[in-house]
Amino acid sequence: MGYGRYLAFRALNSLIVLLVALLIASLAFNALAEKTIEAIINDKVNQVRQQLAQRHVEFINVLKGVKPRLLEWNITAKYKDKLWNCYLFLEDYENGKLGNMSKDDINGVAEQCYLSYIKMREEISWGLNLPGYVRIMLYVWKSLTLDFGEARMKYPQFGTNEIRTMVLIAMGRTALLFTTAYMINVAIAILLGLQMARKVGSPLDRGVSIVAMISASLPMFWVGMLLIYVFTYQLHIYPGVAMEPMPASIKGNILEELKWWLWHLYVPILTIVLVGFGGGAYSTRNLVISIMQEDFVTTARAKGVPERKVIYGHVLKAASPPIVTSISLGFIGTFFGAIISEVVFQWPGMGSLYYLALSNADVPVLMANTFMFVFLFVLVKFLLEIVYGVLDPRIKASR
Amino acid sequence: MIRIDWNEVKKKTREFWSEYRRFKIGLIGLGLLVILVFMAIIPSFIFPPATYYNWNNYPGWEYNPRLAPPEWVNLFSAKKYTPPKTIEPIKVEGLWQYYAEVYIKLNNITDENLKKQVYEVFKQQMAGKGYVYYYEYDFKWDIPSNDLIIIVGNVSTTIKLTLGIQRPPSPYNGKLVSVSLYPAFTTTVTPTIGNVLIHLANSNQLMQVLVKDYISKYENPEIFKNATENNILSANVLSPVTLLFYAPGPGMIYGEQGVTKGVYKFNITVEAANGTLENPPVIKIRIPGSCYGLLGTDFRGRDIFVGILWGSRVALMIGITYAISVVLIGLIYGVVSAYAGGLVDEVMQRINEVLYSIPLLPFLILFAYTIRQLYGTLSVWHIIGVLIIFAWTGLAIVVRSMALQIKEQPFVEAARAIGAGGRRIVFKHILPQLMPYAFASMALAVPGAILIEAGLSFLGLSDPNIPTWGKMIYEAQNSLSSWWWVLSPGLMIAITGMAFVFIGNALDTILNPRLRRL
Repeated sequence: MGYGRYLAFRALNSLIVLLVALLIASLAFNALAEKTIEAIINDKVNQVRQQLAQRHVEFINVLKGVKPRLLEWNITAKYKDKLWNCYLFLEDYENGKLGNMSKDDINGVAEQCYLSYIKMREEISWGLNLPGYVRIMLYVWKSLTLDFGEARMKYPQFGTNEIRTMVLIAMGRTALLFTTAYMINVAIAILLGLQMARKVGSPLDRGVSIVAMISASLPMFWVGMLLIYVFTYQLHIYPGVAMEPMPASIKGNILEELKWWLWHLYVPILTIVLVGFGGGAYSTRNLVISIMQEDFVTTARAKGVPERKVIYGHVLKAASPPIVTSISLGFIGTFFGAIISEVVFQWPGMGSLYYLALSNADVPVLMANTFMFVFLFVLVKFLLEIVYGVLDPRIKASR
Repeated sequence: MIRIDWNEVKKKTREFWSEYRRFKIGLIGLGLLVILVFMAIIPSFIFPPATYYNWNNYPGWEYNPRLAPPEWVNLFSAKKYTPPKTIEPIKVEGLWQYYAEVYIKLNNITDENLKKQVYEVFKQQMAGKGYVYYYEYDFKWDIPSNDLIIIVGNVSTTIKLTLGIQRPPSPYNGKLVSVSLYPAFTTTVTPTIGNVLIHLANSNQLMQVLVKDYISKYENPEIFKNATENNILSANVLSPVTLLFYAPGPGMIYGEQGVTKGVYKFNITVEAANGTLENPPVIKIRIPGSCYGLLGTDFRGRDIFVGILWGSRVALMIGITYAISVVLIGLIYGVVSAYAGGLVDEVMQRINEVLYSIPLLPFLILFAYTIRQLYGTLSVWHIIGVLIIFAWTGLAIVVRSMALQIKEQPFVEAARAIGAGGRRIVFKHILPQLMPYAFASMALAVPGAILIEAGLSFLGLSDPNIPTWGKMIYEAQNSLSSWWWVLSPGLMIAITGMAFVFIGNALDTILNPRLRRL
């Protein structure tokens, strides 16, 4: 019962977080999209103007063709007066009431009218006539249904133009690289942390503690650049990029393929591990030390339980919930650096997609990437909470 | 009214310092911080402010070599890099003097009186027509400069400028050859305010002269033919200035014969295009060299040392503003939430938890990008602002739980019993207990902000005008072989982060046993 309530509460919390985050993001995107769409519409209007000018079309004749729509659309407040005036102008012209105006003047007014009509038509087709909150809700809905549309630019690294597929591919790649590195990191952190806690003040303990402090302030992408410099430029034992088209000769041969991936990914993984293992080991050490001072450990030792069993049985068991917490925090902490490091290694994951979307000013891709990041983050956090609930007996026992 | 007992504060500070002094790591951190603060202050006094707010396009960068390693690499490198040098003319004379001398020489005039007369005639005819400048450059390095800049000071009228070059004698096929190029380069300079810089690195004119009078005569014919066919001998591919320094012989265009060391002589003839030049304009020759300063230059010739110093100011500004704001907001929010209790506490904690669970990075990217698109610019203050909005939450959670425990302590109860008001209890009893933790958190929060700014810069989201360490790394990402450019900003980020982490850890160790265990 206790665990069920805990889960329900966590799930609700995650959902609220997700919605709030999506709402905030949609707010920003609405502002961004408005600006981009306005630019697109202005381009379109200019294009129409130039086309008509090239063909020497009389604007008044074009305007006549769309006369009914001028009335139909005057419901939109923004253009109501303007288009209504245009309608009246057209009526006057057809009734021959504009005798005192020169032909050029008539054509000038007709041009203005026609272009506002085009502008209006475009705005409606982009949904700009809808009120702001409706558009924001629309964004939230689109992101919840993963309906992101097509990318404005081409992204050959992802092999498709459909944003949903693109972002999912990117997410998978990021997860592959990051999870692998993180597993290694966790293993090192726990093993090292336990050793450090067993011999507090030993050279190992001091050394790793200092490494932890130093690596906490290293920019991961910079470490990646240095490693590329050393491994590729100096030692020539790394191809320099994490992703290359796989040669046809090794396709299908699983062992060769695995080797190929390892050959391209070992330096990125090394980068993440190098920056992260110190902090992980240090926090594990602190947790283990505080638990080793507890009475039940002293009791176990007094009973004559072998030291090995005390450490791996009693201490580790009690320390695992806080270790999970600190791992989850560490996970979030290094993720930022890790996805930026993808740019350095040209690994086409979420970080690279961010980089490309930003440099191409591709708002839909940016939007999709942001939403997926939020999903991923909230989901991982929720999963970690589930794990934490399983590990911590107090939650299971509580009502 | 809350009274502060200064003697008490003094005593506490002294006690704290005597404890802090025992932590070696804390002292190292403090020492690093002092150096950093010094680095952040001095650039105001030694660099022009434009190097800061116009970092990308500061005109002074034009005088520097591009992608040049630091000057001290000469201490370790077998091949010596050329340091930058500005050459002043050793002699400036009127053009009439020059022509008179030529005339005297050609006509073999030896009579002193006649000579004087010739001088007089030439002076009357040609005074103010133009001037000749003579320069000497003693070249004694192995890796030559790939640019040569003619710096023309303020000119009031259009002038025609002709450069002549005399190479020092160089051994070729057992004898010494010295090549002179005249005219090596000509151009006209129209009146402008400020210096006009003429870069010879991309001058095809100089290249053609070099090919005709020097390379075609001394290069192996086959190599020469091959190079001409592949269009290698063009200023877009090779710098003519580098070629000028290369010694003659087969493979000379690829520098296989090394360089010719010795005194290079330059002369520049300046003539007024029409009318006269009353005074000779100031003309200097700048050899940008192939190494520069303390930390070298980047691909635009920007002095990395200058960027590093200004960058330390930006980094400290970001880090400290962020740390103070986040800690203050977190402290106030946490304490208020804990002290108010009940429904207020519950609501505040829900809001906090939601904000805390929102991932920071995508929102930073999103807001930085949105600000840049909507307002057309992005400053570090925008980034700090967005960062603060999202980042205070973690601290508020810890502060609240600590404040809750302090609230239940007997001394707070006692204070309440004798009728102390809520504000007095918060300020006099709860906050002072939290201050040590707040200071440690401040120190520990600084590196995060600096790293995040660097990360955003690396995605291209940074203040476009000023130098930041993150932006420097971002720009260096495609020039990894220029280690001096990649290394220094990253090291500075690491050192700054280390300084604060060391201080924070020392503080933490001093304060922890009492507070974290509560």
